Amino acid sequence: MPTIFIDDKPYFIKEGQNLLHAALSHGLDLPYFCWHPGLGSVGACRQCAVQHFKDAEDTKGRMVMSCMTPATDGMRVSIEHETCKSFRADVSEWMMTNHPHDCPVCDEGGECHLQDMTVMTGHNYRQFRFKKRTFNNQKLGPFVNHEMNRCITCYRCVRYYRDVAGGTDLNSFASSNRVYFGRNEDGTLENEFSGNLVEVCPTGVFTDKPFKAFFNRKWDLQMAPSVCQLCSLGCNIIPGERFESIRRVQNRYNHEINDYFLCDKGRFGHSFVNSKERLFVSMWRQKAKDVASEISQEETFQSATKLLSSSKRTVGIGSPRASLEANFALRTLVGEDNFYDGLSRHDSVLLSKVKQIVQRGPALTASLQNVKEADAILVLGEDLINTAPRLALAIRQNVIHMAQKKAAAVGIAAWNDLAVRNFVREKSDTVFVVTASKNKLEDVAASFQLHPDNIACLGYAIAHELNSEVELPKGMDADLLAKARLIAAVLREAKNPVIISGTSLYTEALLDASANVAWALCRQGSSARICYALPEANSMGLSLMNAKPLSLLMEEIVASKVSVAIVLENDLSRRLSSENLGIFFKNIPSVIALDSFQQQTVRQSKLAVATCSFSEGTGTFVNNEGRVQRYYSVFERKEKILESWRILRDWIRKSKKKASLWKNLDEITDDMCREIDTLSAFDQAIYRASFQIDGQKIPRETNGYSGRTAMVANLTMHEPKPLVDVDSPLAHSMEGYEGQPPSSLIPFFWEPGWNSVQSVNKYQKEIGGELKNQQPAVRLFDKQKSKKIVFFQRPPSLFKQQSGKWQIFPRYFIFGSEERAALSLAISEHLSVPCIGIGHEDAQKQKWLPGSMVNVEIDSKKWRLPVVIHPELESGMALMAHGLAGMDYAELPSYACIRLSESAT
Amino acid sequence: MLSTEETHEIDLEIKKFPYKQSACLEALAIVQHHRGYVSNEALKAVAQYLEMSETELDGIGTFYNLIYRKPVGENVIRICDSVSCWILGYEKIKAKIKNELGIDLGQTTPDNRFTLLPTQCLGTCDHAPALMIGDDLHRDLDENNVVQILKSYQEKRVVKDTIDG
Ligand code: SF4
Ligand code: SF4
Ligand code: FES
Ligand code: FES
Repeated sequence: MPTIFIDDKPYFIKEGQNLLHAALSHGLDLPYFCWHPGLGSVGACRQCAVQHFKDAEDTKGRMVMSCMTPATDGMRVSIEHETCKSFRADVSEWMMTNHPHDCPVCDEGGECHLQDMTVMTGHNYRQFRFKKRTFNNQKLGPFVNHEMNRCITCYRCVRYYRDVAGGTDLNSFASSNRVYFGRNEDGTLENEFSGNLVEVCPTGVFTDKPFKAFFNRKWDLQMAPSVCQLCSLGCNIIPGERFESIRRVQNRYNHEINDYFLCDKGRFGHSFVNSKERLFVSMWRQKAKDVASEISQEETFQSATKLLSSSKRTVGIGSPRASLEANFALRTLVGEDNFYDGLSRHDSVLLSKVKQIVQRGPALTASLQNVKEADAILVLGEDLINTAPRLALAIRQNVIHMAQKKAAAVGIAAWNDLAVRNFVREKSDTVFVVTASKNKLEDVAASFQLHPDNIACLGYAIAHELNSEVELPKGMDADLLAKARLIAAVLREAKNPVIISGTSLYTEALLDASANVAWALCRQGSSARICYALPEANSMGLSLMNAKPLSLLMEEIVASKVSVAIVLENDLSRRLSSENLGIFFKNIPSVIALDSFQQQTVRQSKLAVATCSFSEGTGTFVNNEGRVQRYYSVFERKEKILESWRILRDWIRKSKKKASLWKNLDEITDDMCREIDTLSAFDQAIYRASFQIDGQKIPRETNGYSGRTAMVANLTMHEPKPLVDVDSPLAHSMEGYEGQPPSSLIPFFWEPGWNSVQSVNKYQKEIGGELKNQQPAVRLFDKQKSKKIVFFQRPPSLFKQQSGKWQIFPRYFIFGSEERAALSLAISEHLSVPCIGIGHEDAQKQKWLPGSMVNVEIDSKKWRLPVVIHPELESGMALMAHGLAGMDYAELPSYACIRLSESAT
Repeated sequence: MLSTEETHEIDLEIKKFPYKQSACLEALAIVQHHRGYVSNEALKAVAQYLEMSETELDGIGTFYNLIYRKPVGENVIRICDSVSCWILGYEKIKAKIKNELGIDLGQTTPDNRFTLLPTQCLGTCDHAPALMIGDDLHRDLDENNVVQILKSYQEKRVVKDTIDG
């Protein structure tokens, strides 16, 4: 192993690292600004200077920028040498000439990389006595706040936003002492990953805007390891709480998933828990028309158990956004025969297909890390930026990764960012993204648009190219076949390609086609992986529950004489047509809905039971790749609200006379893992509530947490007893184990001297790599693969336009299609509006303009929507906004008539 | 928005580079030559023409002192404030100009005839102090001849290309 000497001590290094990366990886404190493990080096800030010596005799050396200097075997450098040390202090000092002294009023204060680095360099006293340069700030929309005077010109923001996230509306302007980072005019940042600027910027220029409105210092937040609730990828997050409100969400580093970056839905969407739509108290409605009245928890229990005991048949309707535990508790209460999945008809079918594919194999599922490191990627159909945003960013990271590989061939180091970018300027030739409409990856990937059925045909044709056992769809034109051949040729050469698709176009053939491609590649001996974007955070978890499709219940609802339906954290108006929803409520006399916020099913139910949200309850999700992850409650309310599984447990205790059932989360977990085979690996991997390190629990509060007694001084002058968490190894306290906990239990990142998010450096084995206390992931579908491949053999026919009709597919929106995220204040300022997307050709033929109001008629139902033109859309199909508030559920894909609305606007 | 003349000139520049975005600086200079400065609308038009984002183009435009993103007068005076000129009387010359025209650095006269800007060494130190008005270099300045020079521009109207909407 190559060795370098830092201040005369030998250190092993990894080939291809720069000096800064190597030094930080060994836990040494070397200040830096412009370098970031997710961005590479450009040598812009001069903060990372070290002394480089010719040989062991050389004591003078010469100064080099460690981030721009390759670490090579035998190299001798010094961090402590007087020359570089004083130079680093000088760098801080000259940055400070323009930096305002406003830490006390700066949102970054207390978790600021600039503060940390300034202290680290030893620059303590300012001598600059002249005017500082000042700037005007910009209004950048609901997510990110701008305070330009604090800029130290490290260029990280533009390098992240433009080069990594693909944004085009943020840049650096002007020159020398006037360099400005912002947009060319005020306006909302357009990129879906803008929130990461908050963590990427090492100073208080870009800060979390919603957090600003309810601000607390980092040390005053109570935090817990959590998992994003807002899409199926399961990015790891750290929500922070004060005064019973979730103040902000930060990235929780997990090198296999989200590494350093979240999407804006994940970062800003979780404050739905603070929204005025939250349901804190249960409601009872005697008759359907009655106004609901508030009832206590005890009354709730009494009413529910009374309804249950007199019920002839009780059905449970599960949820893809409720925890495994909650779904399992409901299933236990009603019995497997009466447990339904709570999904739309299409989602049920698609989800069971996905499960079948990933279980059967042989292709393993892909994590985001697999996507980042793949040597070829094919996306079939899924509009990732809207349905699995972080996956779209992972594809961008992949393009960078592949460019680095190309540059490496001519001796350019992967970290040498500018050189890599200058060397590789073309789009990727190994990433193919085929979608129905534009996908926002056009600038980096080979991309084109087709009708969903034709995308599936293309997939079949690619698989056919790879393995002639797969049937070739009939009637494909030469152009499409040529594309299939080209893509197949690239995939064939790849060692670890990833095939990506998803459920959002409601087209089963896309799932089949992508499986065929992945399997054909596996057959050739490549380790191809498959990746499906699923509808919701725990869709995969729900699919393990053996639930019956909700559509089955709807078919038999009149005959089946259901007296009580328990709807778990699910709004059926998003799953059923309004007609079917009417039938549901008409035929089931008592609907009990459990949820943490007001939604249509809650509003219509006889008994609406308030349950706590992810911020106050612990639970488990299975993400799209089959990764089982637990999210931990962040805080507990004084007026405690229980998790759904506990509420249901109490009902089981009463109705089944099991008084001591499931005293805590461990007990229900054990039962669940025993009953659901697939989950048995999780039972082994989980940290039980009794887990302690050095006899201590892991504190959710930093050791600077203030105001423990002051916060409740209006109620009592005594310090309240810390709450006991019986479900997890975490404590609602600032006392406990002070070291680094296992990776899944890290409530926040902090080290002495490293107060900012960059303290994650100290938790990593190698910077940018896995965490020191990394636990092996629990991935459910990694085992038991059969080698035998049975390809799907039902290619759809190529799409043929029907005259006078349009085939309508759903269109998802990152901001709006997720019902809870839409309740967050920041996101509500950024919502997409209902619309119907039409191709250019069709719009011209019909003389529709953008904004023309049309009636979309499916069967006998009408939606009145404004037209949006997607020039690239095939004629004969249209995209209807899906899941937005105020839009009735539509069963798609369906054929529809679209006519100009008479009352045109 | 761009005139045919402008697009023609820009096209000639584009031909010189492998990526058309590489011609962006020249394109801004062309637009400025025709219009006196690069307005927001002109910036947008050039960005569209070169298929790049406005923000990126503006980042490049603002980096260069000689691309004007705000309106300037018919004659731009760029007075050298580097060392030789400074030693040989830059301050006095500047004061004289300020006095004559009633404008400070960065300002434009109300009649839109002059804008006064500082510049770095004009490479003519042996004849310092020096300044440029438009493309003309004026050297060996003193408090008298600078007034004469300004006068000559008061009279001479510089004919700019018409600015189309
Ligand atoms: S705004 Fe922040 S990230 Fe951007 S250059 Fe300034 S200090 Fe660096
Ligand atoms: S990509 Fe999905 S899981 Fe990740 S932060 Fe965004 S919404 Fe959450
Ligand atoms: S971190 Fe090395 S120069 Fe900025
Ligand atoms: S210093 Fe003015 S021309 Fe050189």
